[in-house]
Amino acid sequence: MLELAAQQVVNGLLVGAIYALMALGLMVILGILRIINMAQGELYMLGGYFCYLTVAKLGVSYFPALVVAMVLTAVAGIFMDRLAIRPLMRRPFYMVFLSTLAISMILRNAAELIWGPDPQTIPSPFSPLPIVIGPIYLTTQKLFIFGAALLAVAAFAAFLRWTRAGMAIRALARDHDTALLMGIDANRIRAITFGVGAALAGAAGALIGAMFDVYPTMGELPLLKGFALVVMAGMGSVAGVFVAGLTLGVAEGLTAAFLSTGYADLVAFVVMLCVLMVKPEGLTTWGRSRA
Amino acid sequence: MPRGGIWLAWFVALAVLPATMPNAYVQYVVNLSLILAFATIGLNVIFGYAGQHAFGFPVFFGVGAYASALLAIDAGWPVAFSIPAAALVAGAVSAIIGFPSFRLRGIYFGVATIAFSYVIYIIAQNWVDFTRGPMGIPLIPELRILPAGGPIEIGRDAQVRIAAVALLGVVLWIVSRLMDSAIGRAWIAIRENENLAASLGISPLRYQMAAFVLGAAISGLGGGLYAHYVGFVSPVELGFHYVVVVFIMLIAGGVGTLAGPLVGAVVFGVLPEILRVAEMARSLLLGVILLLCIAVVPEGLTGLWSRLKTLRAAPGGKARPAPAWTRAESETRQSGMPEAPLVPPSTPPGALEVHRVSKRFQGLNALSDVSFKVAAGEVVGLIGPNGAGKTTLFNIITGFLKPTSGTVHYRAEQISARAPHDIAGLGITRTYQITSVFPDLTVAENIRTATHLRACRSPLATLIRTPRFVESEASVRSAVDAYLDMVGLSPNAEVRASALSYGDQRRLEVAIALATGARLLLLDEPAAGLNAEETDELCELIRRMRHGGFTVIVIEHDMRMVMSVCDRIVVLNHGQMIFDGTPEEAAADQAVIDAYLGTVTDDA
Amino acid sequence: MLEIKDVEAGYGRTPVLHAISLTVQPREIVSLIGSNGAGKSTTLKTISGLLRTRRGTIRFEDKTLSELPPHSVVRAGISHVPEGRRLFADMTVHENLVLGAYTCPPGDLAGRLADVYGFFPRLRDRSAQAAGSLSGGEQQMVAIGRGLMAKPALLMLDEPSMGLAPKLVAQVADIVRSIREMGIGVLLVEQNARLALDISDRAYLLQMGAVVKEGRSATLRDDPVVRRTYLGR
Repeated sequence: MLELAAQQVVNGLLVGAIYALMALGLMVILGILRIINMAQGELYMLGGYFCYLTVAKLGVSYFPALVVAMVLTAVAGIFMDRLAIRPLMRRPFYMVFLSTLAISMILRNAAELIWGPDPQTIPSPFSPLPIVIGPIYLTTQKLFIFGAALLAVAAFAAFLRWTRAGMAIRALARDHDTALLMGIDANRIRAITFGVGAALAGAAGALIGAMFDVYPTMGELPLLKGFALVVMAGMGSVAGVFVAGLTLGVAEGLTAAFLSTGYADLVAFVVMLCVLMVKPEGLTTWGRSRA
Repeated sequence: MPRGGIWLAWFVALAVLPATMPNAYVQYVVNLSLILAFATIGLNVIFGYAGQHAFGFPVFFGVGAYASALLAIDAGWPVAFSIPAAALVAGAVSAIIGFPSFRLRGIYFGVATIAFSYVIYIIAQNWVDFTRGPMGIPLIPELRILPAGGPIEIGRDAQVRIAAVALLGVVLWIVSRLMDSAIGRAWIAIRENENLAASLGISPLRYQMAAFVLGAAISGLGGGLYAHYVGFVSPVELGFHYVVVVFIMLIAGGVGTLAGPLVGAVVFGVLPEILRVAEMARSLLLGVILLLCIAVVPEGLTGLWSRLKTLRAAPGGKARPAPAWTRAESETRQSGMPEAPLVPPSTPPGALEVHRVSKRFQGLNALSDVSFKVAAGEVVGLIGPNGAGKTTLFNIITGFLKPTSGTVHYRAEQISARAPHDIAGLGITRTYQITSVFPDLTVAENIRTATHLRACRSPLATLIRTPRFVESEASVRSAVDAYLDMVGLSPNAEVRASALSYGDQRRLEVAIALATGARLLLLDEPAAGLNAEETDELCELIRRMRHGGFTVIVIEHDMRMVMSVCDRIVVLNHGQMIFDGTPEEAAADQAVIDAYLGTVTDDA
Repeated sequence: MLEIKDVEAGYGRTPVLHAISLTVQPREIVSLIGSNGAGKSTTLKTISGLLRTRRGTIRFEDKTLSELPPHSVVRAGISHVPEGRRLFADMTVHENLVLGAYTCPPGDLAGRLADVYGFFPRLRDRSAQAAGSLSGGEQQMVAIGRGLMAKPALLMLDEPSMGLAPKLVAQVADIVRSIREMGIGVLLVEQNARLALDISDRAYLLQMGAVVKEGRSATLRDDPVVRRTYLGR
């Protein structure tokens, strides 16, 4: 019993780290651009496919392929914004929401048409031999995924905290007009935000894709959960989202083991709904700039 | 309002025509589209008319499907009962979901509806004992309007189509009746400007819930039809794909119109089938259609249609400059006789008492211990420098803010803890610093909406058009004409409020405030942006209001206007009241002068 | 240095400015006074690019600013310290100041910080504190310091004395005078007319979106038209 729980906790941490990456990408786009990007799941999916294509078709090794996938996804994200979202910015916000939904449908179907609906496996450089620690089975791949996700989150936090662009992003999120008065070019930062947000999703997809295969609809559920996470953890604290993500992953794992796998998916939504009922304004928006 | 004859013809055609097609598949597709129309019509009520972004709403179609199937199979109900019951079940579920969700603001409301819809989906997938899980419910009893083997033989598809069309007719009749009444106007008001709607006496929560539940019941009705036509339901009917498809159909057909959801469902239900060649790319095509709609034709097909119609017709609807505010000026000036009084307010007069009101925001004292009285029929000016707390005080009086301490009484009743729409019901109304009208409604519709509290609002009376209802609507119409006349906007009655010039929008605001029948009007910077001539006309109107028995409190910075029109002046500075007296005294009071002109510490 | 001619601007449908014209010379302190709603803040926002100029031109040292986005206006040498200070409250004083220098080349940053801390020594002690936790007077210093970090040729201050106790108001007056000594021009918006006329060289009196009087501040101080605009008689 305890072994099962322990194993599920470990697996849950892994999944949770991935959720956190999704959530951070959503968060930065939502925080700066006030857009709920329903196509974020498809960017995650594209990350997986870019990685798959780079490894399987171009013969590049996995680790550089990861980076390539992130870059390509970032580009795809910026493109998506320029072509299909920015032109619609004057429309009421529900239109923008629905348009990202439309983009998500288009991308998903396009992936089905181009690469087929069947899952593809990314050739993995990792040894399949498990590392056994007590009752827990780990593989190098799992460790890598967790470590890479952690690294990505840390890099993102550092980016926000210490780079000029990161500072601009934080400023824009807190007080848009005053940020403009600092000389911040809103359009450039917008592109950077989308690029970074997409890269995070792409990283998540590429990382998990090597373990669980890539397929066109792989982004649907992670998107919803990532979004639930943003609502639950509040916006603005990278560490907060990361911890919340891990917690969600663990909670799901335990629910799957002890209740049922199907109901595990409920956890994210139930918790989110509870949070919203208690705090209808949602959790802290990205800082308050009353001074 | 669509003309009855055309509708009838169209329905008959829809019911009969496809029967002439030999292809059973085409009939199937048309029937499915008709059934999906219930989902789009239901969504239209909450999303199109009431303007609530309930993104997960189409789930109620599936809820109805499951409810009807389970009632028929597990409880043995006849189909004729299980389908209407399914509508009720969907309505009930929506009430449970809607009530907590409407507390959420902004995007979180839509997000919560998505979450709820996903929760329902997951439950359906996993509660296998009840819902049969992912395999779904097969062998659902058929819908038949004629007994099998009876004297009349009509194909099953045709039977279902006749049933669907008949029920659609009933649903559309209900919806159109409701929309052409105070209830429909209230929904639109909430959609266009929720705060303004509340200050006109419309309770946002009540009307949002009503739209939510009605829309869900309609969707559930369609779901029931679906279950007994297709014979099989599974969690797919509760899934996100349906959500998106229904939205596309609604937007592409035309949100917020009567025919839109029907057109959307039929055209875009059929379209993917016509594009069978591109079966594999169905989602992609639908996504592209949605994007095109949003980018190019947000009003959908019906909107496009009416745009084309108005293009061919004479270009009307351009705003014309309105004549002077007050009619028959020249007559009164010559004859010296007083003007005819304004349309009398509907509520009795009363005194307002603000007693030791304070308001703190996170360490900032917006108002400190403010007390004053306003007697019935007075015109009081509320003045003070920027940040003095004047608008905060208005927000407290009208219920948009609660005071940290102190009370407000009107006609000896305490109002400080009441909701804005309740306070409106007592006869208090306000205008806003930034022009607040319903921008996409015509001038006449704006004023008509403002008469909400004086109109018949009973759903039953609205549906069956009782004499009381008819009379109420007639008196609303004549009141609207009177107010249009009074502020000089009659020539622009059918113009969109957003197309009016700034000065005319201000007039409209005043007309809206008067149309509520309120006795106490709070005007927040009504002269802002008006030129000298318009300001004089505004003063004249306020004088007439006083003459007509209204009580007015005016926030203004235009001191000329305040001096000329106010009986008394209350001066606020830094949240405190520093003066209460006549305008002449105010201009001579040192504290007032210092507050306005500022002070400098002489450091030399 | 700064020249505005016949500028019209507003928010959405609300017209606020009707054909405003004014100039600011180098090393001048010019104030915009007028009662509330007269369009003073709107004028600053139009110059800094937050609001679109519907008509008229804004020229600054041979550059036309009327069509430029806010970040280009900053680069052109105009810094706008907004009404209500609008500090990034949960960022530190240091971070706020660094953001003020967003447009400056990275090499200059240390030098500019030193200058600003020299100008406002109190802030050096508080540099790691969250800006929102400072007192009103200190926040105003941060706001002005942030504006100075952009090394502007023209500094626009929107109601710097608002919400400050009289003693601090005097301090603000001194700060504004010192800024002029640094060679920076100042365009000052103030509801506190007496303060504004005390500090500035020239003033424009705004009413209902138009300039109704302009001239040397000393002359305007005793002009009854000022009193009439504010008090109506």
